[in-house]
Order: sequence, then structure tokens, then C-alpha cells
Amino acid sequence: MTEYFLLSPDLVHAIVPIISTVANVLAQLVCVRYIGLSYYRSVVVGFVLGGVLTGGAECLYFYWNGMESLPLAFFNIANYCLLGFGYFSFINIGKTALRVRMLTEMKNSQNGLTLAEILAIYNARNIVDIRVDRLVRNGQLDRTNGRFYSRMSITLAIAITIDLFKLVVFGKDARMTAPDRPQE
Amino acid sequence: MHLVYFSLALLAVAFVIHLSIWRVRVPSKPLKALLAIFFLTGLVSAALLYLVPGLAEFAPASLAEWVYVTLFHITFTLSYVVAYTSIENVSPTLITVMSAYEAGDLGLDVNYLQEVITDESFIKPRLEDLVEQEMATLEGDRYKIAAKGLRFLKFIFFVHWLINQRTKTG
Repeated sequence: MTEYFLLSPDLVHAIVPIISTVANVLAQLVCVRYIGLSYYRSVVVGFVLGGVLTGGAECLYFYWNGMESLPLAFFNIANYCLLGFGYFSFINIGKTALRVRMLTEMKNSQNGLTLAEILAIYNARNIVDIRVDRLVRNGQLDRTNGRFYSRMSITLAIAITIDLFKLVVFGKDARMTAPDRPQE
Repeated sequence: MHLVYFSLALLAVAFVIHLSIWRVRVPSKPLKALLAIFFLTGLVSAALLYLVPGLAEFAPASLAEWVYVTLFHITFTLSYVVAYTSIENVSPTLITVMSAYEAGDLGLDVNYLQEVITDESFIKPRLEDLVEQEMATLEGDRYKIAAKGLRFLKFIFFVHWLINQRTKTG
């Protein structure tokens, strides 16, 4: 099979996740900028396309090398997923971040802003109201008789994972809802 | 299969060192500390493979094998650092969702969120972070954007332009 490659076939196989990630990025950008797909759909389409490329390369490599290629498939699939996560985090940077919006307000002001002026624009009460409304609208929370009930969602899965992470890394006092939670 | 075990063992060692340090005291610059721990673990382990007699048989045998292991170590480390930033600064959305989940059948009173998500716990620390990271300055009682903050904003706007998105509010 060496005749198909200028480089060592193993080396080409090792960089498959990088090639697939480039395809992922290009597909996502084309979908969101030129085809008009929504942001999240374009992310999914890009990731799936890169995944198909990685999967195809793994099938081909398995066909040529048999069972010994399986551990290497682990590396490539893991590397592709991790690179995909990195790209998603990169394009998501500052999308809803409060500090980006505070910096923008400072940039737009002539002489900077006092704490009171910043709090008039961004305060915890507004943030809670806006986010609770958004969660209810998106079907991630149910509102019944003025109380909010959890529904299974990706956001909840992420919250549980992060809570678990906080428990492992920082200990139980760092959990999202643990400290001095008032009785209801 | 030894390559997979070798890579996972490297990460496990780095993770144990990270947890051991964090349980004693969280470093003042945690992201730099994390990068140092994970990358130094990789470099020291690679050196040990060749310096300690008998360990060479566990080392990657070819350039391609080194690429698999190195790429995995780098991508995992960078992903973990990204994930770490989200566990360090949890968003109000996640606290809301998690609080509702823990409230169970009782349901969550929005007043509870107003007690937990406050200006003191969410807005002021972020402003202090901006000053500490030299993205903003505090002159008298006024917060002003600094050159580093402007560069950061330009970068963010470029990324948003690239993906055809605008910053959300709230």
C-alpha cells in the first residue's frame, strides 16, 4: 500500500484527525456563511462531515492492517473529537460572555463607566430574568404556578457534568448549588 | 495496545499531580499551572523512557507512534484547560438549570436564584477580573477599556464575523 502515499502511511494515518478537523471547520463556515444554515446546525454538519472522513479513513486503515489498527483508531477518533471540542469552544468564545459585553460598553463610552452605570445596564436581577425566560422558551424549564421545574436537556447534562467536575477538582464546597442553599 | 495504556497513564499521572496541588491550594494562575503540569509530565515521562533502563520497550517505536501520542496529549490538555475555565466560572444559566434539577418535584422559586446570583457574586468579580487581567483600568471610580481589552474585543468580533453571529444579550 506504500505506493499510494508519498509519506509513510502510518504518518498520514496519524494526521487524519487534523485533516478531518480542517474539513469540519471549512464545512461549518461554508454552511453558516453561504448556505444559510443556523449556527448550531452548521456546527453539527461540520462535525459530522469531519467524523465521516475520520471514520472512512479508519475503515480503510483497518482493511489494510487488520486488528492491529484498532488502538490507533482510538487515538484518531479521540483526537478528532477533542479537536472538534476545541474548535467549538473557539467559535463560541464570548458569544454570551458577560465580560465581553462589559468591555463593549466601556469601549462605547466616552469616559469609561462607574460601577453604578455598569450595574444599571447589567445586573444580576436582569440576568436571572432574561436567562430564566430563555430557558422556559427553549423548553429547558417548565413554569407552573410561579415555580420552575427541570426538564431533561443538553444544558442540564452539561450542568450535571460540570457540577461533578467541580466536586472532583475543588471539593464539595465548590458545587454549584451546595453552599448555604436556603430551604424552600 | 501499549501505546493507548502509555498515553492514558501519562494523563492519569498529570491529573493526579493537578488534583493533589489543587486540594492543597489553587494556584494564582491556574491555567498556566495546568499547562505546565500536563506538558511537563509528558516531557519528563518521555525523557525517563530513554534514561531508565528497561523502560524503552514501553516507548513509542516510530515517528508515527510519537505523533499519535503527542497529538493526543496536546489535544487532551488543551481541551481540559478549556473545560476547566467553564468549571471555574459557572454561568448563571447552568446554576439556574442545576438548581431547578436539585429542587425536584418541589420546583424552584425564582427568589432563590435572586439570592444566589447577585451583583456581588457575579458582576463585581468579573469586573475585578477584567482589571486584574489588564483588559480594563479603574481610574478614580470609572472603569475604562485598556489596550489589551481592545485587542481582545477585536479578536472576538473577528470570530463572530467569521461565523456570522452577533453577541447575545442577557
